[in-house]
Amino acid sequence: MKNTSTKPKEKAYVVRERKASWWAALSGAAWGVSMGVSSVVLTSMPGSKWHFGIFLMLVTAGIGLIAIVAYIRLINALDEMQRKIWIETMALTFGLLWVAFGCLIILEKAEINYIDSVEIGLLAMLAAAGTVAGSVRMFIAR
Amino acid sequence: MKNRLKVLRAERNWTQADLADELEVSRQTVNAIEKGKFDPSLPLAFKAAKLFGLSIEEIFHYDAE
Repeated sequence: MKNTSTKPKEKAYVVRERKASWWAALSGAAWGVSMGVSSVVLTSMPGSKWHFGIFLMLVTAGIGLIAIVAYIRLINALDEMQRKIWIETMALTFGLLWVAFGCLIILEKAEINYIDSVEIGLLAMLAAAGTVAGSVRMFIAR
Repeated sequence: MKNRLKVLRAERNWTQADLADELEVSRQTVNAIEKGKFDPSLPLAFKAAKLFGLSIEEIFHYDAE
């Protein structure tokens, strides 16, 4: 049962989980950075933005798709209790996003506030906060 | 659901990490199952039963409360 070697060899499922976690974190961060950079570049860019805008949209969408696949792989690599925590986290995150989006629509219809890049950025931060909350729950469960 | 995992583990001088390695789950999952905070899936319950050489009913007991 116990490993008697001085340097215990990690089990395959532990390595798989760690690798999936890194891929999810890195691809998610890469998507966030690509969105920020694209937004700044397009805002400060003079002249026609048509071709470059389409190019940046495809790049960010591609990175976003990679992030989605990475998160699906992460969920598959987790054990059943960790998976339950992550599914609850996803439900919380999407629920918060829909409620916040609904609030913004109501405010816009009431002509109190207009949805622009600031509000979209806040929604992205809300999604990130939900993901961080899940990570904290996973950490506390240790 | 109540279970005897902690007792069975202690009888064998296994740590939660040892049992987690054998069941291929995280240590926190073993901890949550032992404390009754999380009910394992049927495949995981079978795996635990096979590991200890017992039936599922000898390890896990349904508790309506």
